[in-house]
Amino acid sequence: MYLIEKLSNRIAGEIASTLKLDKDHEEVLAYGAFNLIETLLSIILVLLFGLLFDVLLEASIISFTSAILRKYSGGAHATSPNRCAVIGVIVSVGPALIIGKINTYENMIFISCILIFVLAYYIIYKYAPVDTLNKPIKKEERKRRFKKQSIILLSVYLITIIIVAIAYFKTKNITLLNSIASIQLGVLWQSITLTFLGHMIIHKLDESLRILVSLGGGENNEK
Amino acid sequence: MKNKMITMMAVFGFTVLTFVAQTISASACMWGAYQPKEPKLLSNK
Repeated sequence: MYLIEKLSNRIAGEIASTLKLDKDHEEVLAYGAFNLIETLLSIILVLLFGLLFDVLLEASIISFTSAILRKYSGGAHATSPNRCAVIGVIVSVGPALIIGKINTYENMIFISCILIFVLAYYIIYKYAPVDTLNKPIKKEERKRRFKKQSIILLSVYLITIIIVAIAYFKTKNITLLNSIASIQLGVLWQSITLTFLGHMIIHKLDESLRILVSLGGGENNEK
Repeated sequence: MKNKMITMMAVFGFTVLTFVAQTISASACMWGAYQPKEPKLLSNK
């Protein structure tokens, strides 16, 4: 059992015994606590490493863009909460560092914007929502709703990019151009996680991290 | 007084955690790339 799981079960147990709840409700509380802690941990790690590498804004935009889209579209998953948090940092801070290092040219950003959004609309239309064994989406009506919400959110991102682009042309502030690139990378990464390629990337990262942890003192250190 | 405080904290925890659990359950996925098993009470809804 992972540390987060133990902590969640402990919190749920305490609340359930105080309020005299049954096992089913205790399970729901543990599930809520687990998700809350895991989400906070993921956000804090991205903010911390973003700050450390001086790419806080870009890393936050990439992380929030992909995570909010993920809420509706689903996607590939890691096999442990700790590796999930680390993967979250890698896929947010890594691309943010690239954005910070390369010279972002206007033309390049706007051409990539068209390409990424065409690809994202196609992938989401074809694959979303991608569920998991731990949380299967069985009802067709729910699947249709998630697909529709994913497409609406993608359109909101596109409108946001257009607004930021207008602001950029008026101010020529490079931070705005970097923000556009960050939204694009967040959308691109989340779209890729819906495909076979995304599942392969997450699986490889997951496996590499597992091996790395076991080399550094065994699986128990991760828990 | 102490018991009342503990009960109030438990009610607050219950409200927050149930809200989070319901919100996650109504989504395709949670924030990160790890998905814990959904409780029966929520998956049956």
